[in-house]
Amino acid sequence: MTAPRPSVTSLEILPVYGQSENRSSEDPLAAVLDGATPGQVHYLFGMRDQAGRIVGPSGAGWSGTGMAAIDQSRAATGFATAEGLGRVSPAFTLQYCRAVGWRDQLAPAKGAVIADHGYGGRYINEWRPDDASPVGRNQLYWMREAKRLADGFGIGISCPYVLLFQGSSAKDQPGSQYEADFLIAHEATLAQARALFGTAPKLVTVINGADVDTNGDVYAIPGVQYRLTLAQQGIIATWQRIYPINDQNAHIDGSTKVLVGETCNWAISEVEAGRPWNITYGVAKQGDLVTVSFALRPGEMLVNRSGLYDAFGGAATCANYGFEADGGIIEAVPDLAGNSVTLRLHDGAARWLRFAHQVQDCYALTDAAGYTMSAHRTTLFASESRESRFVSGQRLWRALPGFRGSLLGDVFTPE
Amino acid sequence: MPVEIIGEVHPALLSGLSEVHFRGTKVAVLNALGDTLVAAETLTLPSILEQPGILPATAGLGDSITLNLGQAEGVPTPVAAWDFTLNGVSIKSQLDAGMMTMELAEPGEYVLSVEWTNSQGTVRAQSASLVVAAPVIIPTIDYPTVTLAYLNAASTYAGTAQDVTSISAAGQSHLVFSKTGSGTAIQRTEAGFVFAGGYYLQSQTVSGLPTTDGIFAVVDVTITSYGTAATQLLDGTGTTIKLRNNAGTLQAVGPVSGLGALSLGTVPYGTRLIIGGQLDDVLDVLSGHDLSGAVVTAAHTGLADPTPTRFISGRYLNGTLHRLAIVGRAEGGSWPVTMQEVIADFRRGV
Repeated sequence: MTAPRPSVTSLEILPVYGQSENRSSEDPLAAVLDGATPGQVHYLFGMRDQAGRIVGPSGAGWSGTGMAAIDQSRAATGFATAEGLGRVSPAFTLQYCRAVGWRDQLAPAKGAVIADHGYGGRYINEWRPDDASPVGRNQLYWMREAKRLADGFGIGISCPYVLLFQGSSAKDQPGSQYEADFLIAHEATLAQARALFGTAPKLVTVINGADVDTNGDVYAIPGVQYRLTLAQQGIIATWQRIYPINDQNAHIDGSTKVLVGETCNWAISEVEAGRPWNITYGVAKQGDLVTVSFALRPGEMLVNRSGLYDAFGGAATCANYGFEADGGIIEAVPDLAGNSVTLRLHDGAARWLRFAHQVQDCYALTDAAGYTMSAHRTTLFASESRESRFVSGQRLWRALPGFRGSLLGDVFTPE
Repeated sequence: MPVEIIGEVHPALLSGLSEVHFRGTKVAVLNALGDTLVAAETLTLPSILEQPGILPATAGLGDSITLNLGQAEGVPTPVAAWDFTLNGVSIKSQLDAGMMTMELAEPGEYVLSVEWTNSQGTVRAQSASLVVAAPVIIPTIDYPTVTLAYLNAASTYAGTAQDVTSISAAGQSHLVFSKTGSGTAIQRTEAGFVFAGGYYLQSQTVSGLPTTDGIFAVVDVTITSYGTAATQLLDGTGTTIKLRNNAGTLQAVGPVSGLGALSLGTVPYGTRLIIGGQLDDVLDVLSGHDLSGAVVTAAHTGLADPTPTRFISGRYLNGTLHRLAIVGRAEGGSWPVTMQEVIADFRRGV
């Protein structure tokens, strides 16, 4: 095909560490996103995998026996319009929302590039350049080709963010292993971005949620991703656990993918505007009293969405607002305006504390549509929310950080 | 099997006994008189409590699915044997490692079959199936390779942007469309080549093009107003396909006289439109792709081998030619790309 040259004057690309929850699926909302971003959203075109199959915005995918590698002896030939693809994903939506934002700012000539080189069931080590899996190398090649073509077209190109929405497959992996693999993979992405675009992209994380049954699973990943995103000075955009699941496992439908992507864009836009976004927590203990404080935005407070789990097992699945402690909790008293919750423990010598990190089986707790919610639950949220621009009747929420950790005397050590 | 107690055993030894299992099966315990101290469990065939499922039921290509084997009860407890197939071939090994999930990478019929077995026999559960449709593939077309001629805004042209004197088309026929006629010049803009009812484009004379089993053309154009005569979006000499705006009606016109023109809709002036027309010499059919996206056809009996000798475009046109593709089918050959594929690609823009 004649190399398609976008009519935009600049492009923004988004590397992604994803897996099944971040994969695109057919959804009518894709046409809505198209309609909001005429001429702005593209994907890199012309790449083939080593078997000669076209590599589109969903990456090289599965070869039949393993992950397919992009044939790096063949060059990409242009940026094709993404209009009409008919698919949505969190990462795609984030890019569409970026484009919508530029259009709102009267800059419709700024465009975005969508892509997802992941696949269902992937482990984070697959993004390491030295891994047997080609996933990471595919993404690095895609970055290079995007830059080369944009330069050839005389179009500015940047890479300000990289999205992490990954980790379900690692639910039984030690957190240290995940973190070590992530850091190697991420450093390769950062180095590539620095070399190509001059700056390192900021990490934007959708913290992995638990599936519907956490019995017997390790689930170290949420805590690891929380810590490493803060350590990277990244953006904790949202937590997967707050979104409904459509397969009684861990996966989300098209509308929810759009909500996740929209929330990521909201987080980025707030940070770009100089406003704080990340919510952190602190634990103070004195005897049998524990106070958990959340660092919210100025003017923000806690809200209790008490009916959130009514159709998904009810209050019994989210006792004490999602707090649990060794020996049990006598009462949990939220100070909504004070952004804190005070817990009175049965045992002042309790050895552990956790929040929105339950070990329970919610598999059968479906609503009328067959949807479930993650086993990790709390009804507490930050108070700021906003109406979704693309999913009718839905709101975007700021999720509180879940956590677990050990108690020794009055000292809490997060995991 | 029942277990018989032999010899002297004090009754107190067994007084608290409620169940005795032998090789996983609850068995009876009798005293020396044959009285039952502990009853055997009634052995039963597996019974399905929950049928297998593939979730979500609406999953499509690229989605992740989760397999649920369902549940069964029986005595002894039944064990599941299962397989997961795609079009009859097992893909159980392709499930995510240690998980009951996978991403749907291929279209086809996915079936989860489960059998529950215990010592009393085997019961097959109702298989769960999921049919995943093939994606609507809009091919990425290598126009220089598959067309006789391909024009777009990026085509190489001679003259200036304000007065285009010729355009070198991509494609296998190496056509050069030259400025012909008189009047207002042809201009080149980011959107394409702009005509104002004056000069138009005409190719050199050609012969022997690989079109004797068929030819089609697809045009992407914005017509701003009607000209002084029927607009020749694509015209020419020889036996060929023509695309016109005839007094506000878009038409595909074949070479056999008396068979009329195929209407492709009413011109939406000022709006970008895409239409196509095709001569199929194997079927003797004239077809077109109308404004609504539908394919319209009509018999074109008596059609001789399409043998264009020259192409014309833009005559009597007030508007912008964004893209034009002309494709031939050689004698005994197949279409290198179909009209529908080019239409789909044009509709995607760029």
